[in-house]
Amino acid sequence: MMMPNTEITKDMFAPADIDHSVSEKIGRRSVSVWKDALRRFVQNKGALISMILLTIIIVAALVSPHFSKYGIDDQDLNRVNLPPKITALSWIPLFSGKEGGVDVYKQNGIKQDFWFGTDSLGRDLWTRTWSGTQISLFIALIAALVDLFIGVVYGGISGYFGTTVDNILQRIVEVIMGIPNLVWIILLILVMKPGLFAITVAILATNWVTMSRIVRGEMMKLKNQEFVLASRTLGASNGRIIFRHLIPNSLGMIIVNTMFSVPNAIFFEAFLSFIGLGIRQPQASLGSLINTGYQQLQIHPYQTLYPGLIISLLLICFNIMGDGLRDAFDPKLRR
Amino acid sequence: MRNKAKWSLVLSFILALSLVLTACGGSGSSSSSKSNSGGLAKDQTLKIADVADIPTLDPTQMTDATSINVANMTMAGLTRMHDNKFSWDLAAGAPKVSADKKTYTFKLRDQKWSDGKPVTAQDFVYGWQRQNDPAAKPAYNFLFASVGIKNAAKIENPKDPMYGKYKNLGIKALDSKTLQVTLDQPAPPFFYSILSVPQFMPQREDFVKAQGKKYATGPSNLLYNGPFVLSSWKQGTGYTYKKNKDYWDASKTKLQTVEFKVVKEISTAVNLYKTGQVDLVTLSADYVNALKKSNPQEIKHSISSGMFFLYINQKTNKNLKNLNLRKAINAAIDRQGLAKTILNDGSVPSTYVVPKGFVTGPDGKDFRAAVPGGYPAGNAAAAKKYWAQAKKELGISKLNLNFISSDSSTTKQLDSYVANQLEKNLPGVQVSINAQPWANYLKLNNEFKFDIAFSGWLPDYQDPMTYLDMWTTNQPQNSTGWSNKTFDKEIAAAKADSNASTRWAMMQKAEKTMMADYPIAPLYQEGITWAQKSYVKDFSRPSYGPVFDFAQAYITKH
Amino acid sequence: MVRYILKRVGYMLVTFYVVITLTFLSMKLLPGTPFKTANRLTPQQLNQLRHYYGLDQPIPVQYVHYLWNFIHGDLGGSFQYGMQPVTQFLLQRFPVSLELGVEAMIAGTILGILLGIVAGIYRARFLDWGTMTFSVIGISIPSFIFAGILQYAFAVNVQLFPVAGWSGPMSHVLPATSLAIGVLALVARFMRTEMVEVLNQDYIVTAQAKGLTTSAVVFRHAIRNALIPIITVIGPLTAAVVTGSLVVENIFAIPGIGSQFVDSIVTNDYPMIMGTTEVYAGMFIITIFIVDILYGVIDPRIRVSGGQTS
Repeated sequence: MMMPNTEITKDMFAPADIDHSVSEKIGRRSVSVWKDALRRFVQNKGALISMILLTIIIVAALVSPHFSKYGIDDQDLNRVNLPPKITALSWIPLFSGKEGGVDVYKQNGIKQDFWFGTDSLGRDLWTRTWSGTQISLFIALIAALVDLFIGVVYGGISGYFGTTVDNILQRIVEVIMGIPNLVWIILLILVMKPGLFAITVAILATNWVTMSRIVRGEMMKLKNQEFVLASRTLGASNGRIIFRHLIPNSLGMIIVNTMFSVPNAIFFEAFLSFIGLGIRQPQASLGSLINTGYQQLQIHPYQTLYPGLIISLLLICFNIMGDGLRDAFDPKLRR
Repeated sequence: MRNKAKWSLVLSFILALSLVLTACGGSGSSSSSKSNSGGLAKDQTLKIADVADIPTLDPTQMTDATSINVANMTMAGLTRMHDNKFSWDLAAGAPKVSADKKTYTFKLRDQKWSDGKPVTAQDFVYGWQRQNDPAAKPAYNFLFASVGIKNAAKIENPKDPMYGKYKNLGIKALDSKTLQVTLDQPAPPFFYSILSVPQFMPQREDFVKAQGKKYATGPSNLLYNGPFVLSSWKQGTGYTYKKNKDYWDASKTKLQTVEFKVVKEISTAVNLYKTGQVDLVTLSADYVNALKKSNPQEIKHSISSGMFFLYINQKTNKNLKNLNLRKAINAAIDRQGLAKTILNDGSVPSTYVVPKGFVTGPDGKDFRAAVPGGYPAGNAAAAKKYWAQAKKELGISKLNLNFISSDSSTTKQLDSYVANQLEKNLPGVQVSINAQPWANYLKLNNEFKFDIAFSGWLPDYQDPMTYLDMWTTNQPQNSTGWSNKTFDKEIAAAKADSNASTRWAMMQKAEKTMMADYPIAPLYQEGITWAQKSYVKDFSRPSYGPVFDFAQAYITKH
Repeated sequence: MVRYILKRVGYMLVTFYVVITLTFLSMKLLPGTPFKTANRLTPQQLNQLRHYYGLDQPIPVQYVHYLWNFIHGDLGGSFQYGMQPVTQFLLQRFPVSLELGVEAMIAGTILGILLGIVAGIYRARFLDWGTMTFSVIGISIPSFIFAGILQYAFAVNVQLFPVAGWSGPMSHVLPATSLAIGVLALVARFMRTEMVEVLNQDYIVTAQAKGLTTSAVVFRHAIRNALIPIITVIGPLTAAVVTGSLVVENIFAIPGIGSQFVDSIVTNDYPMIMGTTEVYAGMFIITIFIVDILYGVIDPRIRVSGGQTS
C-alpha cells in the first residue's frame, strides 16, 4: 500500500494579505503614560492608604478649628497647662487628664475637656494644633513647589549644559548658600514685617538650592548614558532630552529630596519663630508649637507630642505616597 | 582631641600660674585659718549654672550684670555693696568732706594686687582717667557725669573743647594712700554706693600698658585685688574663682572655689541641679512649679530692680494723646495673672515707676512705703469705662495698635498675653505683635515707629532718680513723647536740692505727677527665683550690686 | 585635572570675595547700632561711640579697611564681647562645632549607607519598611527633641553620660547621637532609593546572570553607582552640621559656634557676623569643590570640567 505521491503545488498556497495598516493597528485601547501611572498608583495599596490619610489630615486641619469652641488666642489663666482629657476615652492614660497621678482638671475645677490639653496661657491646643497644621501645610506646599519649579529646572540646566553655564550657575549657588540663611532672613524681615509672607519669600530664595545640586548631580551622571546619546542621535532637542528623558529618570531622587526639603522648610519656619522672626503671635504653626513645647518637654510632654505626631504622620504619608508616585512613573521600575 | 590636649595644657598653665601668684602674695598676709567651726564642710566649693558667659573682663567695657558681677567679686573699689548697703572697702573709712560738700578725701587701706604690688591712690586715678580716655573706648563712662565728678560731662562731650582731656577729671592722688575726688556740685546721695561699680575701680597703668591689646582678654591678663581671683575662664563653658587670701577682709571669705557653668537651656541647668552637678540654678515659670513640688525647701526668691512697662507713644499717635485711652490701656491688663501665672518667678505686679526694695530714704523707709499700692488705673470694668469715654472723645470705634517688642523666647508669652488682654478688655482694639531683633527694636523705639512697646529699665545707680529723670521732656529714653512741665520742674528741683529729705519728697511727688498722666503702663517688677541646695548658706541676690553675691557664702557639711 | 583644580580654586576665591562683600554690605543695611547700652545713651554719646569704632566713616572706606584687616588676619573685635578679637573667638569656638559635626556626620553617614543598602536589597520587605519608617521619623522630628529625650533618659534617669559639657569622649556621645539621627535618616533614605534604581539596571542583571554572588554584585557594582546622590547631599549637609547646631549645642551646653551666631545677628555684632559668615562660606565652598572632584573619582564618566561629550 503506497501512499499516493501527492505533489505540493504552488496553487495550494495563497499569498497572505500583508497590509501595513493592520500591522500598525493597536489591538487594545491605548494607555497614556498618565493613565498607566494612575493604574499602577491605585494598585499600590500603601500609597493609596497614605493618600487617604493625607486627605483626612488636610480636611481635619481645615475643619476642626471650627468645631472647637475656642479660638487660637482664647487665653484663660485659670486653665493653664492642662493635660489632654477626653472623658469618653479617659481609661487611656494619654487622655485621662492626669499628670503625675494628679487629676489636674479636678484640682483646678475645670469641667470641659481639652482633647490635646492647654498651653501655658490656657489656650486650647486642639485648636492651635490644627490651625498650626494649616500653616505648616501651606509652608510644605510652597517648599515643594519651589523645589520642583526652581530647583529642578535650575539643576537640570546647570548639569546638562555643563561648562560655562554650569560654572556661572554653580557660583551663584555658592554665593546664595555661602551667606547663611539667617542673614538673608534678617534682611527680609527688615524690609517686610515678620510673618508668613516673609517666610514664604525666604523659602523661595533659599530652599531650592539643595534640590538643584542633586538634580545637577543626576544630570551629570545620566547625560552621557546610552539612551541619551540615542535620543540625541535621533535629533531630540535639548529641552526634550532634559524634560522627557533626564528628569523622569531622576524622579526618584527628586521625590526623595522633596521629602526632605518639606520638613526642612517646616522646621526652618519653627526656628524663625524660635528666635522671634517667624509666624506672628498669636498664630501658631506645628513647628512653633514644637519649639515652644520642647522647653517643657520634661514637665508637660503632651505639648510637644501632638504637633510632633501630626508632623510625623504627614511626612510618613508624603513619603509613601511619593514612593508610590515614583514607582508609578518610573519606566525602569515596571514589573 | 588634639584641641583638648592643648586646652588642658593652657588651663593647667593658667592654674599653675595663679597658684604661683597666690603663693607669692601669700607670704605677707596673715593666713586666716578658720578651722571647721560649726558645720562648715571641708570642701568649700560652690557650683552655679548661669545662662550668660562673661562678655568682658575689661572694666572700661563692662555694661552687663555678668561682667559687673565678676568685677565685684574679684576687684575692690572704694566701697562694696552687700545686701543693698554699701560698706567701706579699700577706703579705710568715711572720707573727709569739704564744707561745700564738693571735695572728698579718702584714705586707702593696705591692699595688694594679685602680683604682690600695693594698690595705690595713683591706680584709682589711672582707672578713672582710663574710663574717660577715648582711646580706651569706654562703654559706660557717662556714670561719671551722672555722679557729677568734676569736668566729667565736658570730657565726655565730643563737642566740648575739653573732650578727651581726661587729665582734667576731678580725681587726684595726694600721696600713695590718699585720694581726693572733686565734684561739680555737692555729691548726690548715691555717691558712695556707685563707687562700688567697676567703672570706679582702680586699674594699674604699668600692667595695662605692658599687656597692651591682651589686657583683660583672659584671667591671667588682669590683676585682682578683691575677695576672689578668677583662676580660669573657658569661653562658652564656664569660669572658676579661687579665694584671694591676700584680700584685706579675707577672713569673711569662706568659699575656696566658685565654679560657674555656662548653660543656656534651663532644662539642662535643672538636670545638672537634679543630678547634683551644680548647687544653684535660676528657674523659669514652669520649673518653679515643678521644683516646688519635688524640692520645696530649696526654692528661694528675691526681687530685682528691673522695672518692666509699656511705652505708650503719644508723639506720633494722636489717639494715644487721650488720657482716658491711656488709662484704659493701663486698666485693661491683669498684672496679677501676668506676675503669678505667666512669669511665676517672684515678679510683682507694678503700677509704679520706682521699684520697691531698691533704696531707702533719709527717713530709713523704702521709697515705696509712701504709696505702697502704686497708682492703679482700675480693673477690667474700669478699663471698659475709660475706653468708652475715650471712644466718645476721639470719635472712633476701633483702634489698631502696633505692639513692638524685642524678640526672645521669654518675652514671647508676655507679648501674647498683653495683646490678648488689651483685645479682650477693650472691645474694638486690635493689637498686632511685631517682634524685632534688639538693635532694630531700639531703632523703631527711638524713631517712634510703634504705638506701644514693651521695655524694661535697670538702674544705673542706687537712687530713685535713675528711674525718674528719663521721663523729662525730650530725654532720649522717654520714648513716649510725653511732656509735663510740672514734672520737669519737680525733677529739676530734686536734682538741685542738697537737702536729702526734701529731695526725697520731691521725687515722690514727681512720681505721683507722672502717674496721674499714665504716659506708660507699668507691668511688673522683676523677681528672681532660684533653687539652691540646702547646704549653701549666706548666698544672696540683692536688687542692687552683685547679681550673684557669694562673697560671704559658705557650704555646710552634707 | 590640575588645570581644572587651579581654575576652580581661582573661582572659589572669587565666590568667597563676593560672599564677603555682599555680607558686608548687608551688614550696613541692618538698622540700629551694635551698642548694647544704646537705650541709655544720648545721641551725642552714640555718635561718640560710632566715631570710636569708625562706624561714622563712609561705607567704601570702612569696606577697604575691613578687607585690608581681613587679609592681615584681623577680623576686628566683638561688640558683644567687650571688643575681644573675633579671630581668637572663632579659633576657640569653631573647632568644637567642627568636632561635634564631624562625629555626627561620620556616624550618621556610615550607618545610613548600611541601612540604605540593606533596605534597598530587601525592597518592600519588613526590613525595608522598618528602615524607612525610622528614617521618616528621623527627619520629621527635629534633633533638639532627640537631644532633650536622650538627655533625660541617659543622663538624668539612668546616669550613663554627663548631662552637659564638652570634656572627655563620654560627653560627646549624646549630642553627636542626636545630631547623627537626622543625618542617618537622610542618607539611608537616599541610599535606599538609589540602590533600588541601580539594582534594576541592566549591568547588574548581567552581573547576576554571570553568576556573581549577591554580595559581589552589591559591593563591586551597585554601591559605587549609588553613591553619587549621597555625595551631593552630604556636601552641604556637612557644612550645615559642622557650623553648629544652635539648639543641640545649647541643650548640652557645648561651647560651639551655633548659638553665638544668632546672638551676634540679633545684636548687630558686625565683626562677629562677618567672621562667622566667612567660616561658614569657606566651609561650604570647599565642600562643594570636594564634591565636584569626587563625582569624577566615583564615576569616571562624569567630568564636571568638560561639557557634554559629543
